[in-house]
Amino acid sequence: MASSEEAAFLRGDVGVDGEAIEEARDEAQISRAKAIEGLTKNRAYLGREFLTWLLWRSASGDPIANVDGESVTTLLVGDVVLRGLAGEATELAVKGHTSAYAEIVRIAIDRGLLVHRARLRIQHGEQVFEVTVDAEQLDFRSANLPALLREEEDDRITERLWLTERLGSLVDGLWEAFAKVRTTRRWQKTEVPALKAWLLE
Amino acid sequence: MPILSGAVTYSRFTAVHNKKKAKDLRRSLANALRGAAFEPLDRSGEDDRSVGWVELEDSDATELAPGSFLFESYLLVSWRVDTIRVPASMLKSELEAWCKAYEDKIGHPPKRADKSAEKELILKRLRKRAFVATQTYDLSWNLDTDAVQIWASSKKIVEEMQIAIEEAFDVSLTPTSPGARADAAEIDGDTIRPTAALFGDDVANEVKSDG
Repeated sequence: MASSEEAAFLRGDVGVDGEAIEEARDEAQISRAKAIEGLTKNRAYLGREFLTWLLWRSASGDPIANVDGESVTTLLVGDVVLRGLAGEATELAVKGHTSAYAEIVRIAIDRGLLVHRARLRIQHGEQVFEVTVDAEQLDFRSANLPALLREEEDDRITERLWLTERLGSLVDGLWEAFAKVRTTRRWQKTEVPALKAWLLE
Repeated sequence: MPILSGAVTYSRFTAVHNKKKAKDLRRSLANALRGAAFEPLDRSGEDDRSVGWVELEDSDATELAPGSFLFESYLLVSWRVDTIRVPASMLKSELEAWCKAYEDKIGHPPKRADKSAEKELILKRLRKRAFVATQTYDLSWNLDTDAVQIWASSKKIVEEMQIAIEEAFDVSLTPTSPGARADAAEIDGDTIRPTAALFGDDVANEVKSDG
């Protein structure tokens, strides 16, 4: 290899065959830029930290929040999508009923891919809700509400609306529990180290 | 009508009133909805999409009397979206037939400008027999708490309805995204920078400088 070619290779401008690799690098840069944009938009990184924190906290089965005097417990069920930057990977989708707790997910989180979309099963007293939320908007998709108890149509509409608002207040309760610790020194000092330790268990 | 049954998918907002609530709330809400009530597409016109408010239980009803949209403490109404689409294959086949007939008659293919003019004529003709697709998306607004729910999964529709609500009712809708929550709670930006221990130092620094 001539010295100029060798220098180009060392700079990463050409591959071992001497061909330019600019195009491949550009695509990698575009992918990275997209991943960074995805983190920044609507402070989605906070949403990913929230869902990842929820995964860790839910693993013990202990209550995470309290809404209207009743404890709120949650479990991540169904498919989970992780996003971020871990080497060349920017997204990992894992399928399976409790796949969120699988070892592969913990390894990916440890490498920098955090939970971006998950399906939450939320228990509040005797009521059980399920909903899919994403880190960017925290919107609700395909929610399952507890069975309606009323029989009259008008009463059923009111009950359904009440349950959708109740689901909102439960997710708000979980968010507030997260925000309470996220905005204090405890987050960096004890919460994150404990979460990281759980990932490596 | 997902409010009444079916999949529960919605975006949540809080309505912040830019002005004091009207004394005659029922009348004021009715006027706001009627101001952007749905109007059917004119097949002979240029528009291929029409949107507006309709009654929840009848997507053809645009009278929007308070009795039709006020339900206990809720405002319940639907956003109707009609689109008219001429299938591209149909347009292409008619245009090709015209080009062939032109060439047979004149002896050479039509010029680009002639082809373009004919395409417009064919499009207008086909619009008259094209299928109009109708979709409705629900809005529920708790007037006591100002919790607003837009029952749609498409980002485009949610944004369109958000703008329509803000314009019609002179309110600002605050979403429930992490960013909006942090802003609403007036949390100091330094406190909520990305956690380097989770994202990696390089990513956290990059997001920090971007944000």
